[in-house]
Amino acid sequence: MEEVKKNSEGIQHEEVKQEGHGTPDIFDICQRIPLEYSASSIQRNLIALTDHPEPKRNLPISCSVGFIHKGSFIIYHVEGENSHHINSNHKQSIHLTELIRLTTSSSCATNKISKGTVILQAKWLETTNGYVLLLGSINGIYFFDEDGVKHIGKFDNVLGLTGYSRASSSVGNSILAGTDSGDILCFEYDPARGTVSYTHQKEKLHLSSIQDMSKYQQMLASGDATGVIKVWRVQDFSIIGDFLAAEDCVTGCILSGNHVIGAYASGVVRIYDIKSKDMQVMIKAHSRWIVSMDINVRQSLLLTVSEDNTARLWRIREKSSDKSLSLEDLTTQPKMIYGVSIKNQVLVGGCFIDTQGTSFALSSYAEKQLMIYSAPI
Amino acid sequence: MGDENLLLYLNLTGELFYIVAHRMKSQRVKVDLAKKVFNDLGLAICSPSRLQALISGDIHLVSLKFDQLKALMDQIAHCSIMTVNQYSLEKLFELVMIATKYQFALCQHPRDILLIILNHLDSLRRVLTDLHAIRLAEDLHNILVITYGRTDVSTMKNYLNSIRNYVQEVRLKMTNLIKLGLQTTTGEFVTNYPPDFWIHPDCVKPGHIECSKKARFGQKIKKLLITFDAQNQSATHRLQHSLGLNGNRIVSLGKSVYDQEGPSISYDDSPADGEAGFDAGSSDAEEKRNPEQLKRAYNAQPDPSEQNQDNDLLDVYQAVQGLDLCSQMLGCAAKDEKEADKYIVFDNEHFRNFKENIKSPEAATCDDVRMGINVVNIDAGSRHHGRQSALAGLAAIAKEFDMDEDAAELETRSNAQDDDDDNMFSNF
Repeated sequence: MEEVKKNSEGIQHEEVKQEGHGTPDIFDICQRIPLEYSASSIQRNLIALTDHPEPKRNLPISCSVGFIHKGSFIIYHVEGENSHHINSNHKQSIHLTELIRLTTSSSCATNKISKGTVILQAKWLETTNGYVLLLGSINGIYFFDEDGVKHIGKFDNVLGLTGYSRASSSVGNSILAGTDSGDILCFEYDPARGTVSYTHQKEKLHLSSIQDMSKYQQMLASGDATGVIKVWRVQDFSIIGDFLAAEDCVTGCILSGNHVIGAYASGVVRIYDIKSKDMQVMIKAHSRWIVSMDINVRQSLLLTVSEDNTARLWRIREKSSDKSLSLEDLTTQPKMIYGVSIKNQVLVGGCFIDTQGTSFALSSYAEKQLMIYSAPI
Repeated sequence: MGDENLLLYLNLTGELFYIVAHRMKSQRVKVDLAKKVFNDLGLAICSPSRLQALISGDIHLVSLKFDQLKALMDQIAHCSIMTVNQYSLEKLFELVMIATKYQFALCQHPRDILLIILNHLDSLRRVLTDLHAIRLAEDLHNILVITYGRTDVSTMKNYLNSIRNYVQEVRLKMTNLIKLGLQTTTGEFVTNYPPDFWIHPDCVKPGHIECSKKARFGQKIKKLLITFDAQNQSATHRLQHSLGLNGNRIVSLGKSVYDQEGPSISYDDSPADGEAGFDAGSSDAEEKRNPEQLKRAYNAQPDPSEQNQDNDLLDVYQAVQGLDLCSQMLGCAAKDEKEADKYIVFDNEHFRNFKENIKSPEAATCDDVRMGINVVNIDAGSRHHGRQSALAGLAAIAKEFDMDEDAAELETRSNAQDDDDDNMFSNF
């Protein structure tokens, strides 16, 4: 149903109602993977690293998924020949408290450690030579190899960091971690030695805690607790644009082409055009805090997961000619193509687990299971 | 300034208080003894030295092991004449922990943490009779509001996550939660139960996509509004809560799951044995109550269909507050509460019926009203600005608030007062 109106200022309005909530038979296959540990209530508490970076049709699912359990990061390997049969096995556990105790000798640090640490963020960061696993905790930032086996670097809080790091990203071999004080810590990954070391700090890039970061080519986006998303050129941290959603808190941000997508505590998703600086799309997506957001660029799919116990998939397509969102062509309008409501659980994370965008996983607070949704091939 | 320490402490001790109150009620403890236990608990929970240790970080609860936390609970439970054996203490600790996990797992928005804590503190304040304990509790209320009332939402979310993760591995089934339909028999918390129907004022109702684009050369903006089925057609925004001392918290999390009306001390006639005690049989009556009634009773949120009535109540509440302020400004606020004329002001048909059931002005502040409506104390004989009586001024104000009946009554009394004055002056 479409209806075209013009208001008194001559702004052309159109109203469209989407019938139903998407094709009923897609993503309806749900499997529950049992876990030995439960997921903690942490923002974006589920990440995935696929074994097949190049998407091909009909490839089996094969990836590592990781989540935070208090002071530990747990990695499972998930695989399946097809969407009907998915297997998992426990691959690796990183118990950060033990690691910190082994690697720190001062009595002051020992006292701090004896109370146990808490992990606040976990992310697989792409470099020129594979991936680095970053774990941000209340005791500092710790780096591991892709499999979480080898400890390759650390940044202790004893160096005077105010607040913790809850967001990170990478551009080339530069690893960037945002902090509660609005600073960005810069690290460099050395592929020859396989180590990560701290280089310098960019102070007060934000006036409040940095909540999420995302990169696209040589650009970096960072969102903070006051609703501001800033887009930077990584070479010199010169600002390309900043976007404010007043009285809201950024909970996730994704850079994609000429657009930056922000998820917010109010349940809203906003899409900004970086060139024109305008907000092009506002989706009233959820009724509570959005805990996780992931994108599959090839299928133009956006996954949002919220504490209102729903996960929703959106099709956000760009015109291939100029990568702009068009109002003339209705097929490029963002629309919800799938939604699932999880009963009696508090969702804390969600992500795509393959590059085709045919499967995604969800994690819940205090639950020893992962839920995997797949579309039939 | 603050962290999650104080919030977790008050939630745990608040739940401990609910359990103690419920057990005393079911055991028909004498009123005098109950009062002493409540006052001692209030003094222990609101102890300035303990609160200072929590605020300064000397005691950091989320770092404690459960045995250490149990020792703290033990200390508070034994602050009075009551004794708790080891087995009961274990049970008490388990109940406290699972109730805390339930409340924070279902917390709708990070800012609701403060409301949950204030619900606990409100219930405690209602039963305190010791002046020192009351003052400490009110000071604590103010500390909480000042410390956490303006904390930014991301910091409150960090506190919420920290507390959730601390109680993450508590896995118990609680009879009262199951009876109220808030927990399944397999131990999962029921999350699609209200407050899911009500959306926090800072959040949106999902179901719309708005696209906009400026046409080329700065011409008019085109907007496209797309609606989608978010499967929550009955969801509606809930009322705005209050952080005031007697304000309406709106959320029901943080209220007692053991006693629908909250802990209390009854001054009614004693049971047959002649000793003063709680209402005889009230706990038995509650046990026999239909679970559906218990669910509705626990769920203090307004039914979406009653939203309009409650909006009227909010208007009335604000009107009463306004009248109270005006009486202060006009100089006719009663200095002596006991001697004052008392006006309970309602302007809603629903509450005209309710007014008939109020036996005393003090009852106007009971939870049934859900509005914390205050009683306006007016000295009807006072004068302001020469011959204009305070009553006339208040009548004019009542008219502004569309409280016609009350305005008429005030005018009548004002006229009667003027007539008396005229007669008095005519004698000279």
